[in-house]
Amino acid sequence: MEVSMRGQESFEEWALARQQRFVRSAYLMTGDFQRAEDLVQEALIRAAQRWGTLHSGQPDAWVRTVIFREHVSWWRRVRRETLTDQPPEGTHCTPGEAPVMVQAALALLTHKQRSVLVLRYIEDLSITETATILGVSSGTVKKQSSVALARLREIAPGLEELVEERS
Amino acid sequence: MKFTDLVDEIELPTTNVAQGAWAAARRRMRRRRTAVVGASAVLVLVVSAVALRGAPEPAQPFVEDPVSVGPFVATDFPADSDKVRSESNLPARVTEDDVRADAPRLFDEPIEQAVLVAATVYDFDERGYDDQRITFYGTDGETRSLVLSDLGLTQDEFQGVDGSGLGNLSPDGRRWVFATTKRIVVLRLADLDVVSLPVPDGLQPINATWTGAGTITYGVAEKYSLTVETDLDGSVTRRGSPPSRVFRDRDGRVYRFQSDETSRLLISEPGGAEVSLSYSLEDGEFGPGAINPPGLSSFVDDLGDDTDFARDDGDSALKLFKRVDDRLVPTARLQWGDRLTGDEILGMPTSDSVLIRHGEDLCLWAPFAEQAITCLAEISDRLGISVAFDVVRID
Repeated sequence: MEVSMRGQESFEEWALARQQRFVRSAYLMTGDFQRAEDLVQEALIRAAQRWGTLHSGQPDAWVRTVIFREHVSWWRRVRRETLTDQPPEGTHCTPGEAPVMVQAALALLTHKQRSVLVLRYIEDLSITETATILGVSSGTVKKQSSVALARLREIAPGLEELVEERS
Repeated sequence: MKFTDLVDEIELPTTNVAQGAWAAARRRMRRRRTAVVGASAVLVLVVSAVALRGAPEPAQPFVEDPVSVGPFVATDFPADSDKVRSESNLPARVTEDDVRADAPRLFDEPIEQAVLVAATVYDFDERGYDDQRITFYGTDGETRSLVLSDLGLTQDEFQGVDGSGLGNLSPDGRRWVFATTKRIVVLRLADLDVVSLPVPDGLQPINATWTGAGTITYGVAEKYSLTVETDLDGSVTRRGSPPSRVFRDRDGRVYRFQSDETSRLLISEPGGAEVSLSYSLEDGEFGPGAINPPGLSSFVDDLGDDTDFARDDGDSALKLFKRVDDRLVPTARLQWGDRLTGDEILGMPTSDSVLIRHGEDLCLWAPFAEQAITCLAEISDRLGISVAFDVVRID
């Protein structure tokens, strides 16, 4: 029981500290805050189920992988994109123009493009790591990155100098 | 300022998703333990009964004791099934070049029945119906190319993405259904009759497919969990938020999985009666699966996400179930040496076989056949496909 309590304490301490960051990444990928919360909640429950072995490893990376794979599974299952020329509703933007531009620009990308950008440029993963999570080849990641960045430059030219294409 | 810094400045509501995660995880683990204890008790009873009765009967094709299930282990599909391939009605190999190659236009030379449709999913991005071609593989061995603009679709209803533009063949391969942003379109191949079905409340339909009972079901883009089912005359027969996975057989029975709390499969008869079947899973929860349209009693289970995912690239497991009294009992298990996702489980051509697409292989898992796994075709993983299950010959 004592061990279990310690496990619960360490899990909750870790999860509380990271939940906002996880939801932010999931939101950037999905464009839907509710869906982002659902994805993160499911990933955290799974993490708690195996916390005994996970906490001594890399739980952040594991949860991130679950979140992204679940999202990939969903979009493959649904197989559609909702392309819009408006930023997502129901979210709050700061008065600064650039964050608003980022949010709007990401909303204009496809799921694939958004996922690649979030993984590569926000989660700062390598091409190989990104390819592994998305279940595609490295070549596909490179191509999608390039396409996504080109689209980002086109729809939000002000962001160009903030995002540099990486090989 | 860096891109990541900008992202951090996007204000989002404060989340509290971590709250309760630990307790929810404990509940799931308790349910699983309960299932294991139950299965063990069954085993003890079976062993006791055998001991009392003497020698067991010769082995039956279906093993009903969950503890005795499988495993059929496969890390790669075998690819030495020329006999089955040649008789399956499916083309043995489909590449991107094949799909892009010129073929007679379907609207110039219609076909009676197709076994497969394929399209290059990556071509769907940001193009219009004039550019969009879908290749139909007829049961006569010939191919036809459908240019979507032939259906009279307008550019403003183009759903420019991945496999959604591919549509789905009916189980008998004689019709094909397709969703635009505004409506559902059904094409009868033989006479090119096009029926346009309205979508209620101006919602955007997605992922239109066949129920097995001749009706069509589709999701709604604006609401993740809402599904609509419609007859071919456009009348909505069912609309609601499914609790989990929902299937319908040809006799009109609706199968709904209650996987989160109750672990039951509810079968609604056309007349309104409802049967509730319990199931237990010793190692996970129900994931995506399929039901065999005529067989009624079997479905498959993808357990990969929940139990084995912790092993990084981990294994997945598929299970085949049958109905025994008021229970669903696993009869075979396929342990997978690679991650298998729900959308790779295409369907069940018979009540004891599952069509799986993994990588470039389109294969049949038929656990009680002499060769448990048989590959029927090689199809480029850059192609979206839809299969007419009744037309795939697996004898």
